[in-house]
Amino acid sequence: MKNCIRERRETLGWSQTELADRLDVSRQTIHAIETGKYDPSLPLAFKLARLFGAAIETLFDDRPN
Amino acid sequence: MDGVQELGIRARIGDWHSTGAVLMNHLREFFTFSAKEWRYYKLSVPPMLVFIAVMTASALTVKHFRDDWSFAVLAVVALLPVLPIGWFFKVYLDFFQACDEWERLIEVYGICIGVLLVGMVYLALGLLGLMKLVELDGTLIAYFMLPAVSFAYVLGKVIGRWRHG
Repeated sequence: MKNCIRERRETLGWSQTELADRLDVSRQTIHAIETGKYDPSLPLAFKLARLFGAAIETLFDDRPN
Repeated sequence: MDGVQELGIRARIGDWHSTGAVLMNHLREFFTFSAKEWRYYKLSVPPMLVFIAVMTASALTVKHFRDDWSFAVLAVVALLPVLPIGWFFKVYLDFFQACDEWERLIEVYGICIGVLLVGMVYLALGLLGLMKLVELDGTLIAYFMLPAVSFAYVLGKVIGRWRHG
């Protein structure tokens, strides 16, 4: 699934480690989500959405290219 | 574009220097342990050291008192090294409990590949033994089962990180 987590994070000037700390996950988890190799669970997706102050569907896009 | 695609494109256009850099980056990512992993690796050292000590003491005791002690006592002494392995399992389960969702996916990957790979190798050995094609030492095979699973588990984790990391 495509997502704009990296762009949102970089807009806020956070490193992967900072974002990981705020979400209580590992840096590798953030890296895996940003590269689209791992789709987060619904609770983690909600945490991300809450943190960025955005709706889940604006962060993740499940439509094919 | 993910890292693997990037690696492929760079390799195709002959950009060998940066291909090496990207490859090194991936390898570093594979073998970089988080603070949590390091903490639990350190916690797993004492049970392994105790295992080695108890194993040595147990083997020497059984060898020395084989003719003097009853079978039951000798069996208890021989099985003592299992206790530190139980301690090691407790450390691993605590680590698993502390993992986040992606880390658990990688752990499950490692466990699955570890169990399936070793199961397949043991089945293959069993078939060869059953058909009297090779002579197998069952005791030795049973003894090396856990180390074999552990080795295959690490291999599985590397594959998991490659696919999902």
